[in-house]
Amino acid sequence: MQRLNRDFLGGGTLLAICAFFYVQMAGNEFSAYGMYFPERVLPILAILAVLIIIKGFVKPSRAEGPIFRFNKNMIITLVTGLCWVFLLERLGFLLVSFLCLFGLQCVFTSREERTLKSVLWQLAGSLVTVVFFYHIFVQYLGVTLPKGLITFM
Amino acid sequence: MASEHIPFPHNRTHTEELEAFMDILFTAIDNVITFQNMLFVCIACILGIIGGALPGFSATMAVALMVPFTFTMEPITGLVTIGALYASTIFGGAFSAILLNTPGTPSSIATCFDGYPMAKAGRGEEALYTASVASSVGGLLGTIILILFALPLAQVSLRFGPPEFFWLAIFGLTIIATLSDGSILKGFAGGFIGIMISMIGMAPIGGDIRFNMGLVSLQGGVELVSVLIGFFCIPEVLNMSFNPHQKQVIVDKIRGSRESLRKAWWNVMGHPGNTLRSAILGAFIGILPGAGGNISNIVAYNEAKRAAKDPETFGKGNPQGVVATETANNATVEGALVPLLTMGIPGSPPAAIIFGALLMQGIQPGPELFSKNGDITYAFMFSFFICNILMAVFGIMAGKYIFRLVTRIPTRCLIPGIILLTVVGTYAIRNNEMDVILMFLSGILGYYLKELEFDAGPIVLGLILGPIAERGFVQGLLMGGAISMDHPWVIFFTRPLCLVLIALCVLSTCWPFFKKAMDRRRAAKAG
Repeated sequence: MQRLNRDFLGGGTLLAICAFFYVQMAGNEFSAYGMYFPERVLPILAILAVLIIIKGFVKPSRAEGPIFRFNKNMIITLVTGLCWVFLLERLGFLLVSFLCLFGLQCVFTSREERTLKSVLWQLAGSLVTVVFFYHIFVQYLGVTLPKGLITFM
Repeated sequence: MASEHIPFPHNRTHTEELEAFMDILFTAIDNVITFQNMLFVCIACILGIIGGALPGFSATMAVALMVPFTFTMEPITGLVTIGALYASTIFGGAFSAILLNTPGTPSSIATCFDGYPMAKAGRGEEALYTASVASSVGGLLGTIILILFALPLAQVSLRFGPPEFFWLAIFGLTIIATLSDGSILKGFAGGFIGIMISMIGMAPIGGDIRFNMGLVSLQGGVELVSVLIGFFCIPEVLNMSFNPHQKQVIVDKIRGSRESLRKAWWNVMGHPGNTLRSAILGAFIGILPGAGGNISNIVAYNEAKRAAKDPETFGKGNPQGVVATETANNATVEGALVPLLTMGIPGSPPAAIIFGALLMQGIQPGPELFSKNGDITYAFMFSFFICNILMAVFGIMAGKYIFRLVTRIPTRCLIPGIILLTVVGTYAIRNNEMDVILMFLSGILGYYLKELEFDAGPIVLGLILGPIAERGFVQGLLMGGAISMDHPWVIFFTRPLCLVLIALCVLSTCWPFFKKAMDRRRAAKAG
């Protein structure tokens, strides 16, 4: 596998971040006070990005293996996390947290450990954990958590 | 639970100052020692030791996950709980460093060097007790340094105006950029990324809504604690999920023998030079903005080895190695609070989270903290005396049970458990779904940038220092404009305190290059 240059990728990412802020600066009208600071910081960030890219040519920092280690477990965690976050208000804290907690536990259980008994334990454990935290936050800390589909609680 | 107000002592004679200080101390004791506070400190100590002993679970993560539980508490109770959790998590890292050869937190990396060989030689219990006593002593000495330095530094920082605050923010950035892992260039870039993110939302001067992509929920800016939770917790969760079935091999058991405890006491108290040096080093490294226990434990270990009569025994199970690292990393906890409480600049990543916790309690860290919220501040500082003692007591008395529990927590429970806490904790801050989305997205950004060697430390510090720098810069220019309309920026270079801070910025930026040159010269001499 061809080794990737972290500096090129890092410098490129910084330039993308600069572009994101620049587009918003250019497309809107702001008062002088609001722009004093960003107008000075953004060029510095762009210069640092260019310097990192130059460093990539002169003294590159190469990754030994692939830069972003990804495997099935990691992608599942990422996707589940995103679902958890985006469905929180739609499905409600209790339902989405229970599903995600139980789902992730099942995924991370090794094949040897995956039995009907362990699945039932995980099911019960997930339910108890979610209800426990819901109770703590709602009853003791006075926080309103999204109810979503479960409206009777 | 009402706490008493404590006046800020200034412009008094020595006797009056001493009297005022004693008054402050006793009121702080009165504010801290309540049943509720002690209960929460005990819970935090136990949770902290468990969290610290879990490999991959850093002190920053523990503090970040605890903050949402505390913001509905009374300010003193909340802060005392967070403080106890921070200190005990750093201590808890020694458990897995000694018995598993896996540092529980980055602050315990050097504890492995001698702790693990001791455990392999059947002296694991002695190593653990040594770590307990050393952590406690380090924490107590660190608290004394915190109290001694915080007051004078707060008085100095009261003289700061906007230009000084601008340079102070730049100084913080230069320090963390040069001390962060990896390249200085990327350290600086990380700091500037943080500053840019901090500008999302309303401008501190002028009130313009900037960079919010038209989203109403971002008009107030990014929620600091949510972003901190994302940056520090999500990348760790993703790393853990990469290999969730890692097996851990425990090399020794804790039996609870008095002989080991006696030896541990002697290891710490019988070598006051090593203990004192490590505590002072740890506390001063903590005072440097952005430098935490991950640096202090290695520096203290190297210094202990350099000063020892038997340096060849280090790395082979010398208890003085454990004493040095554990004393230093716990003294760093209190040291890191000095710049936070006096100038509003966190000394370590967990201190950055405490910064967020203070803001959530409606308390602005900085020069006026001691006069406006003296009761809370002194009680918070004093609470470290109690939690450092309790931490060692729990470590010694319940260590074996805690460690047994830790080794039984499987990663398959830990990963979803941490995500659950991050989600519920972030949502609880403002009941805002956008905060949770932002937390997760900043976590993914943090992971991506970490893989490209951009440390999370400078980004987070940039996020905190950004508004301080911007306010200082714009207000400074306005002040300068009143003096000279053509050259308003001159004000940044003419005030005496500004010049001192500029010199510090230059020194901290050039320091790595000086150090490299000195190391090269030393190696050439030795070679």
